[in-house]
Formats: sequence, structure tokens, C-alpha cells
Amino acid sequence: MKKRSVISLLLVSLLLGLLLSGCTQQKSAVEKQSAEPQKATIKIGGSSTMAPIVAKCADNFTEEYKTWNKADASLPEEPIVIFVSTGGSGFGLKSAEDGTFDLGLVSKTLKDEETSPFAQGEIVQIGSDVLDIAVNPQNPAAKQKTNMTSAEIKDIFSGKITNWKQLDPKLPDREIVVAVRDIGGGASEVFDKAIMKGTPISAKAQQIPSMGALAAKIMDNPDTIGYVSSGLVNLNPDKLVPISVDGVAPTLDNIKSGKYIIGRPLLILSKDKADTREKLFIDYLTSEKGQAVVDEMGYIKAE
Amino acid sequence: MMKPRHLLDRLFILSLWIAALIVITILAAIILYLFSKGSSFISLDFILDRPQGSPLGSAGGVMPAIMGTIWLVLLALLAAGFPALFTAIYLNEYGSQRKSSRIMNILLQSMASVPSIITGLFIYALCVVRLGWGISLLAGSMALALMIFPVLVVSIREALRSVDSQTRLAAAALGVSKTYSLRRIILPQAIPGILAAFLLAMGYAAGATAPIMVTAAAIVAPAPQSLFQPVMALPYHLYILFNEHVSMQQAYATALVLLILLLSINALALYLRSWQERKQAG
Amino acid sequence: MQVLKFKSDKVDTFLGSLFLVTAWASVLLLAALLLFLLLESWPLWSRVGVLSFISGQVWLPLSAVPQIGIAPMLVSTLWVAAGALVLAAPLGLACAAFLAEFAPAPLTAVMRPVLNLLTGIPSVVYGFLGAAVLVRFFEVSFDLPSGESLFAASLVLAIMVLPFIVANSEIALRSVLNDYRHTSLALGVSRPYYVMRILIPAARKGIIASMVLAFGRAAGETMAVLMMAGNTMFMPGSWFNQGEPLPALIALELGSASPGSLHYQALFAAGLVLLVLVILVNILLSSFLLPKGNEVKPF
Repeated sequence: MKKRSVISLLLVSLLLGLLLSGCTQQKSAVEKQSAEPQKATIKIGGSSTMAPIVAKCADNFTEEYKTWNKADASLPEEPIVIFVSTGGSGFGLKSAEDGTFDLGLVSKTLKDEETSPFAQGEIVQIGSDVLDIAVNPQNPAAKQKTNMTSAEIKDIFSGKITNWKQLDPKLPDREIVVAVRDIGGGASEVFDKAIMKGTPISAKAQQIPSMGALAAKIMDNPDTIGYVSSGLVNLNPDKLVPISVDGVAPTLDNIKSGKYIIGRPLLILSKDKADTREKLFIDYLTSEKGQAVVDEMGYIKAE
Repeated sequence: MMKPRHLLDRLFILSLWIAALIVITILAAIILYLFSKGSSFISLDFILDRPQGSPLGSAGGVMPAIMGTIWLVLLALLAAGFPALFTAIYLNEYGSQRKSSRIMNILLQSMASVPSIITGLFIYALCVVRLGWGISLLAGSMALALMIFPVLVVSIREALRSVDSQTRLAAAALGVSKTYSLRRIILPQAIPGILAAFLLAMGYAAGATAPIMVTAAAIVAPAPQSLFQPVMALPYHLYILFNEHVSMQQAYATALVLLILLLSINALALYLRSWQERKQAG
Repeated sequence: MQVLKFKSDKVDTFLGSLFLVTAWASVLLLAALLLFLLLESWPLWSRVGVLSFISGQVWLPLSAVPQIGIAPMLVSTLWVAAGALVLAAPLGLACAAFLAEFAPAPLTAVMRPVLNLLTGIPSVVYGFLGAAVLVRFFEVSFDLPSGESLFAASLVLAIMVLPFIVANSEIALRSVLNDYRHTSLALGVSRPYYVMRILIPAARKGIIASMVLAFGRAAGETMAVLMMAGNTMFMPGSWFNQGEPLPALIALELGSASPGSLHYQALFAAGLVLLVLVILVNILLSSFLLPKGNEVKPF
């Protein structure tokens, strides 16, 4: 009897010990994390437009150097680890500010109050993007209504014009499906500033969680209209057809000269002065190799 | 006069057969469709490689996502396992007659019905934002632990309940202490069922997307190295591959890998459970 | 001997109280969860008010003059879940009755584990297949402008909850006393008559419970509705409209709301509404429908 109760006591204390050690391990890991100013990893997140570009660059960067000391001799020999998450520009801005991520990705022009938390840090432009008003090639509008005025576009997105025929009598009598980024997306803010000017987007518009998904929606559905990153339009020339706005086509020249109005910068931000590792990666993004990826993905290289 | 009645009866039974057939057909169709679409893209390379291509994920494989899912699930199980075991033992062996355990049952039932996005919301606000863990493996596994806890309790209790109550009574009548009878009689008999419960919970956690979407998941990350780093996970990877239109082929293949993983975990759990039942019966 | 007995008593008491404390601490996490959601959303409730939050038609938390109402999302949630139930309930009940009364034993032996196995298919897989196959199918075959709809989401949710309805209804049907069957059959009643008039009415509490539980699951489901419902902020007027159920709203916008902002609080308030809805359904279930000790299996 005695032996058995001793064993059970032992068992229980072992259990408890396990539990406790689990807790303390977690705690010590927390302390280690906060005590270490130079993290061996970089966490990046934000704009869904930029995430694929940065993810590709991160992958190339990691493949090229493998360990930090090969990228910069002053760094220790640790494997390079870069995380890329998506979630939208709002998310990127917010999490770079509160430290959830080391670097935030933001694809919109920053307002003054948005730049102020980054006064001590860095805001680097790695490229530019243009929002094309795009339709599916099977939509008759792709051939017969290749230009829209900004007033027409505003009416479509605010829900005043709900039918293609209403927009132009030559077009079929079919409902217009409006696809927009959810309010966390940088594109929704850029679009609001350039076209909507404060008029709310129609409640019937489909909210889409990322730029890739928005482009996919237009590629899949002939009745949809939406604003899509030029990068995605350039990558899928036979699946997405851009529409001119006020007679100006979204061509590279028109964008550079500023004639085409719906453009936005692709920004990467850090709250504090970038540490050596972050600096290395930001430099890589703006280097020829990084810019080649920007170009390859269909976006406009930084100056 | 009997005839129309008879015919109606036949029709009724026939319609039930058809209903059962429909249910099985729908579910079998789903699995067969996934197999037919995905199996040709699955290879050893696909399982062992990391995502590659441009956009990232359109080529290569899913290894980091598999590792991420395994870590998330194991940590969740570690965090939820003991509390769930204790709670189930308490409910079944100590408090089954008390009024308080009825309240606890209701609470448990409510907990089981908490939508998984709400556990994600809670852990996001508490761990990711307030405690400053960031988007991390640890936060994600906490969200999953919270989600599987009630499921674990209910199925462990089920396993304990299926232990013959005769032995329990006999032990009590012989004056054997509760601890002894738990350790020597009840738990050993319930072990297969408890293992099955753990497996079922693992399967449930491995497939969950909503709780980790905002607490743990990244679109690119290596296999986990620290508790405080974001991880890739199979279900979230599938969501990204499909939703971002990265590659349908890769999406089908990922879905199939996830499905095979979960179905085999579940099959093992069901086998253990029926084994225990048979042993008890025989 | 007295001493030994005393010692093992001590261990017993210790273990008993360990189990007790763990059990209560774990279960009370639910209260912590509720409290936390309430805390995070508190400023919003005092600013907007419960009624206008729930009945408000416009969701513009980021505009210069924020308007915050979740009526369209709440209606979408209820609509999608109720729709799923309408689709799944008859089929599920029929299947359960079949398994409990009519199926040959070998068939039952195969079907039950298969159904159990299928509960393991995760919602993201259902959502993926639904969005990849069903949405396109609707667009092409019904010539709809957009294949996403509350109906499409309901359909996928119905398939998801079907195994649960079958399993729980079958348990309810099997728990009806065998005496009823023997008496009825001895009286020469046909089996279909017995099932419809005696078995199902006798098991109605358990059956309704399985339906209510399925409703709760469908209302809280995220991935499938996020990918299938179309995500419009519009008050749905028909089953074939698009909508954005509450879980989809939270999943879509949580990442971009900065902590402490009105938007953030509004999302927590939306989460609280969803949670309270689901828990109320459960408490109703436990206190009115279920006899003691006969809980439904929640998964």
C-alpha cells in the first residue's frame, strides 16, 4: 500500500513538474527574446500586393547567401530566416508601428499622421504600382467600352450604375459585379482618393481579402469590374483588360508623366533605424536583383 | 385495401435508402474528386520541397507548411492535454452526481460551440497584441489549444465512461482508494480511448484555419525554429494558394495532402476506439 | 494500517482537489473569453449603443464620420446557418432513421465509421472545393452574374454539418426504448408507421438538439463562408444574394484594424454578438431540450 501511494505521489509530482517546467521554459524564452536586441530573423508583413514580390526576393536572398555572415562579414554565421505575411497595407502600417513585424509593407501614399510614428525609422520605396480599372476579356466592354470617365467609374463603384446596359446601350443587359479590396487594403484608400473622393463604395460590392484574389475574381467572372494592380494585369495580359480613364490609358509613359491618376508607391517601413540585417535586405530590394523581381512581377521599378 | 398502404411503405423505405445513398455519394464524391484532381501532382518532391516559383508557391512543395502544422498541433495538444484529462477525470469519476458538474457540462458544451474565429480573435487580442508575442507559433497553438480543449474533455470522458462501471463499484466496495482504482483499473482500460481522443483532437486542430489566420500564419516561413516566429501551416497555405490564384494544381495537391493526413489520423483514432469497445465487450 | 490508510486518503484528497481546480479553471476560461471580448469592445457599446449597433445598416468604421452597424452581417449569418439547416435536416434525419431502423447490419457497420471519418475534413477544404467548383457551376448553369451567394455558402455548410446531424439524430433514435418497437410491431403496425408516428416523436428532443447544434456550428463557421458567400455589406433580400456573415467580417478585417481604434472595438463587438448568439443557443439547448447526462456530442 505504502509503496503504491509513494509511486502515485511521484507520478503526480512528475506531472506537475512537467507542467511547471513547461511554463518556465516559455517564460525564459520570452525573456531571451526581449533581452536580445539583434534578432537573427526578419519578420515582414502587410500589403497583399507587395507580399508576393517581397516573398520572392526573400527567397532569392536566402538562397543566395544562406547565412548572414556571407551577406555581411560583420554578422555571425547564422542561417538567414525571413518571414513574410500578408494582411493588407493597414495591417502592415499598424504592425510595423506596434512591433508585431520588423518591417511593414504599405502600398499607398502615407498621410502625415501615418508617417509620424516612423520619423525615427525608415520609409523606403521599392517600386510603384498603378491601379488599372480592369474587366474580363469576354466582357463586351473590353472591346466596346475601352474608355470610361472618372464620373462613370465613380457611379459604378458607388452603386448608381448597376447594369452594363445602363453604362452604355451597346453593352448587354447584365448586372455589373463590383469587386473591391476590403477596407484594410491600400488600394481601397488610393482608389477612394483618386476616384471616389469620399463617396462610399456600394454595399453590394464584393469585399475581397487580397489583390491576387481580386484579380482572380475578374479573370473568372465576365461581369466583374474592379481595380487591379498593374503588375497583375501585365502578368495576365490575355485574362485582364485594362480600361482607360478619362481617355488616358494606364501605360508606362502616362504613369510616369503623371497623366494617369490612380497610382501608388510600394513602401517598406521600419519603426526604428533599420539594424544591419534589415538594412541588408532593404538594400537588396532596391538593388538590381531586387528591382528585377519587381519588374518581373509586372510593377514599375523605383527610380 | 392493403395494397396502397403497402406501396406507400415501400416508397418510404425506398426514400430512406435514397437519402442514405445521397449522403454517402456526396461525401465520397468530394474525396474522389480531390484524389482525381490532386494525386497526379503529388510526389515525394512535392512533400519534401519548400515552396518555390514566381509567385512563390506556384512550384516546389509544402514541407515547411507540414512542419508548421505538426508543431502547431503538438504544442496545442501539450497545452490542452493535461487540463482536459484532469477535467474529464473530475467530471466522470468525482463530480458526476453533483449539481455543479451539470453547470460544468453546460459550460463545456458552450465552450465547444465557440466559433473558431472567436478563439482566434481572443488569442489575437490577448497574446499577439497585449502580451506582445506577435504573430507566432506559440500564439497560434494557444488558439488551437483553446479550440480543442472541450472536444478533448468530451471524448476523454466518453472513453472513461465506457470503462465497465462494475469494476468501479467493486473497487469501491473493496475499499480501494480512488487514486489506486484510477491508476490501476480505470485509466489502463481507458487508454486506447484516451489516445483516440488525442488523435481526434489533433486532426481537428490540424485542419483549422480561422484560429491561426490572425495569430500564427505566414505566407513564407521556414520550418519552425522558435516559439515566437510565424509559421506556415497546411490549411492556410491552401487558402493562400487558391485565393491568391497562385496555382490551382498546387492547391489541389495541398488539399489532398491535408486530407490524407487528417483522414489517416481520424481512421487511426476510430480504430483505437472500436478496439477498446471490442475489448470491453469481450 | 491506520496510518497508511490516512496517507492514501491524503493523496486521494489532493488528487481530487487537483482535478476539481483544473476542471473549474479550464471551464471558466469561457467566462474569461466573454469578459475579454466585452472589455475590448467596451468603449464602442457606450458610444454607439447596443440597439443601434445591432440594427445599424451601414458599416463604415474608417470614414470621417464612422457609422457602425452589423445588421446586414447578422442577417447573413442567420440566413446562411438557417439555410444550411433547411438543406441538411431532412436528409440527415432520413439518413439517421435509415441507419437506426432499416439498414442491414453490415451496411451500418460501414456507414457509421465512414460518416465519422468525414467529420475530419476541414472547412478550408470544403470552402476551397466549393469556391473552385460550385461557384463556377452556378455561374455557368444558372447564368448568374456572380456565383457566390448565401445559397452556395449554405449548401457547403449543409454538407459540413450533415455527418453531425446524422450521428446525433441516430443516437437520439437509438435511445428510444425498445419496448415501443416490440409493442408496435406486435400490434401489427408497419415499420414506416412506427418510425414516423412513434420513433421520431419519441426522440424529438434529441433530434431537435442535433439540429440546434448544427445551426450553431454553421453560424460560427468561417472559412467556407469567407470563400463562398461573396462578402458584400448589403442587407441580403434573398437566399441568392451575397452577404458577409459575421465570422467572415472578422476574418477579413481583423488584421488591418489597429488595436484600440474604433474599427478594432467594432470587430470585437461583432465577435461578442456572434459568441453570445451561439452560447444562447447552447444554453437553451442544455436547459430545455436535453435530459440530464445525455449530452450531444459536440463534434
